Amino acid sequence: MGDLGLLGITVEGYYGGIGMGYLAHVVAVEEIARASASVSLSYGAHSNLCVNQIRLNGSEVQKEKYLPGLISGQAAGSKGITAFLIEKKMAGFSASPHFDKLGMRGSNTAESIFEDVEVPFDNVLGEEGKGVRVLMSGLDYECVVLSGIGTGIMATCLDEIMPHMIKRKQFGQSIGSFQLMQGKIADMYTKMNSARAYVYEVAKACDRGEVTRQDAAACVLYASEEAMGAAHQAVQAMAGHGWRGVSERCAGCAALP
Amino acid sequence: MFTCSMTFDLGEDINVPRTMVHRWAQDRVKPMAGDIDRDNIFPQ
Repeated sequence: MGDLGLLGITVEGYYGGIGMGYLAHVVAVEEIARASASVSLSYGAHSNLCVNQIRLNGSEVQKEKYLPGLISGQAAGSKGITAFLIEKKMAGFSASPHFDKLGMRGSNTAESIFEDVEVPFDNVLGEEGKGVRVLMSGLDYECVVLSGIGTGIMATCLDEIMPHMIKRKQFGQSIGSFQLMQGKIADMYTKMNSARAYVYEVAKACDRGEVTRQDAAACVLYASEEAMGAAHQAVQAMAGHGWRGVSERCAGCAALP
Repeated sequence: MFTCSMTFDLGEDINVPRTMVHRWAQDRVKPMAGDIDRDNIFPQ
């Protein structure tokens, strides 16, 4: 990921990034989510919440110190950024074992534990006492970039079910010839492209510096809720195979006549 | 792979990296996706 330059997709070339915008970023998140939503969340957290926040709010010294390593993939990002930068090696900082989550499981999430951590003044991000502004200023971009997880999940739902629609036969014909299945596909297709159209437009607004908080929130609301709906319909379309684990499902589908 | 969806007019600056990320994700990430979710561990 570091080799492709993806970790610093929004960062200027001077700091090791590739100097692209939020539209490119959301498209990258979408394509990674199409392969693994978990990996796309880890990617989004690192490249947006960590790397891009330092780009937006860091001092020149902070950017030169942290960005190249974070972008090349040598340093792992932490989400422990509010108004200051914490490094894992700092005395008193530790992380709990990561949680056993219901979804996005490979994107390790843990509690940050601070016990009398001494943070050097140089690590203050933005202005002292203005941490909320730092946090909230990045929230809009975070919403938009992570909308790509939803559009990517919707794309992968169609990737998974479409071959099944042809391969799976009932009553002597492919199940894709039945109106019930066609209705599901039409709904999934419509919502996927509606979400993409909205998300890409909001990402373009980010690149123009004109994004509004309500659109950033609305596009992630729509993309993520419709992704949940698409995943539900994909399980339904795969019927018994959809209820089985990935390895069994793939083996089961391959064995279909 | 469902490839019949419409193409949005996002320009070559976006389409080229999208194709690159798509190939990389399908070749490298997708084979690991099941294990990552099952084992709850991000590959280092």
